[in-house]
Amino acid sequence: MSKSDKKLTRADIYQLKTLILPAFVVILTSISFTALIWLGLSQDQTSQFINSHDSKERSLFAINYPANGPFQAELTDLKSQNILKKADEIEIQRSILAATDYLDIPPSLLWCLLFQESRLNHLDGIESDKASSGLGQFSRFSFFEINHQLERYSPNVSNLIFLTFGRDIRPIAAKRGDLVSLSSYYSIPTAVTASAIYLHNRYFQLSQLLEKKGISYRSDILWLFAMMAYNKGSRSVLSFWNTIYRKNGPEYFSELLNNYDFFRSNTEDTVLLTKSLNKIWEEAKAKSYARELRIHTKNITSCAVSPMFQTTRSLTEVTP
Amino acid sequence: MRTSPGRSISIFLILTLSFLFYIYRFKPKAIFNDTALTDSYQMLMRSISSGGHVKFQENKQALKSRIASVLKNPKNEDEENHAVNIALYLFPEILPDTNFEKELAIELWGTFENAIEKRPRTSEARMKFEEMKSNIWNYENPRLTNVGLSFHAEETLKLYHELSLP
Repeated sequence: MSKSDKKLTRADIYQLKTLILPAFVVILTSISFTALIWLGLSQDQTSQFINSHDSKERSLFAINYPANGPFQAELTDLKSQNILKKADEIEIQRSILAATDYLDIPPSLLWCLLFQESRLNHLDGIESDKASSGLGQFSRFSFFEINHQLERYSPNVSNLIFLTFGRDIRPIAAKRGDLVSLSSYYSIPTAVTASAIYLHNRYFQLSQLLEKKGISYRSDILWLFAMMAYNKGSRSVLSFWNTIYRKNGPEYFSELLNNYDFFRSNTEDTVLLTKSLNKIWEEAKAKSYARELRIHTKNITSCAVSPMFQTTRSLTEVTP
Repeated sequence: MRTSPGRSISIFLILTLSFLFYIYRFKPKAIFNDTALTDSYQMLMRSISSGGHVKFQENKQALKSRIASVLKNPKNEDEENHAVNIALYLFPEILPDTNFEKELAIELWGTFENAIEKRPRTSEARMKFEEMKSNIWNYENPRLTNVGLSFHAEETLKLYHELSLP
């Protein structure tokens, strides 16, 4: 190698230095930005992890519903006989997804509740003098709560009405003569929204009560209790809680609110349900109400809860 | 065909015993046996008609003391249950904190009862009564099934219906 070559190399190195320094700065800046973005993302991922803990809890509910065979067969029959029209089914499903997304309700639970209440017949009771009617079997007292008492529950509940309909459509009632009115409970979006709010209010009542007492609970199990309260009143649920708490103590009670197997075995116990309802009604009424409550709870739970949780066998037993 | 007297007596005895067993097994069981306590609502209703809301409040206060002492030392489960139900609908604040119904009872009708008692027989009291009635139905039997309301809820609503009539 000659001297001139060496000089050239030095010149090159000098030139390279002038180039390398800004390039190095650019690279460092890029790395810093990348690091900042990565840190920012990883913070999001942390919160996603916390949420995923919540969504992990939610996984108790089925993604595809109805999850139980009898309801699937019944739904197929309703559709094949055109008792449940395709357009109505789609409108019900759309309204359920909108309302449940806003109120954080498991969609399968609301769908199964409405199926149990009315078999998705939004005109149920329109030609009779039944005390309750429509998709969610609303009575005049359920309407009273939606029309006059929403401020008592979480403040953004009434916002759902504005968001869904663009205005306040209340007072809502079972208007037989004006089916197309958005204020009629026979209108599908109105019935689904009002029913979702009523279910949410039951959950709100129960969760507030437990939080004030500092009792922890699994949210999806509390949604199942809210479903029971929707149909048979919060009193039935609270009397049931009182009976279990007194009989078995706080640890067992905590399991009831956090362990699905405890929930299932206790709500299927007709003797226990009758005993707790007998504190409210005389024996014959308590028995009949307890039977209804047990069937109602079992039907909706088997429809809404993922089949994974419905086996009575343990995982080790079902693993091949 | 002739039957012997012994056989007739046996059949008679079997039928009588079957009948008595049926009556015993399927008789409608009242939840409560203490008539003094079950008469509480009638006593309060009489006090409204005889002495108005002032007399009602006096008697309600006396009943509250009595129920509080029963809750502290109940004779049996029936008596305790009845006292809990009266307290739940008329003075929920005396229920033990461990009772899951206490908080909602204060919120859903306790405050409304106080408001009606403060301004009885006014249109404001009537509005409070309507709200309280709706709360109680939604709390006990939202679908309005044949089961209806409990005895205590019904009797309480009768009292406050009367007190809130303008």
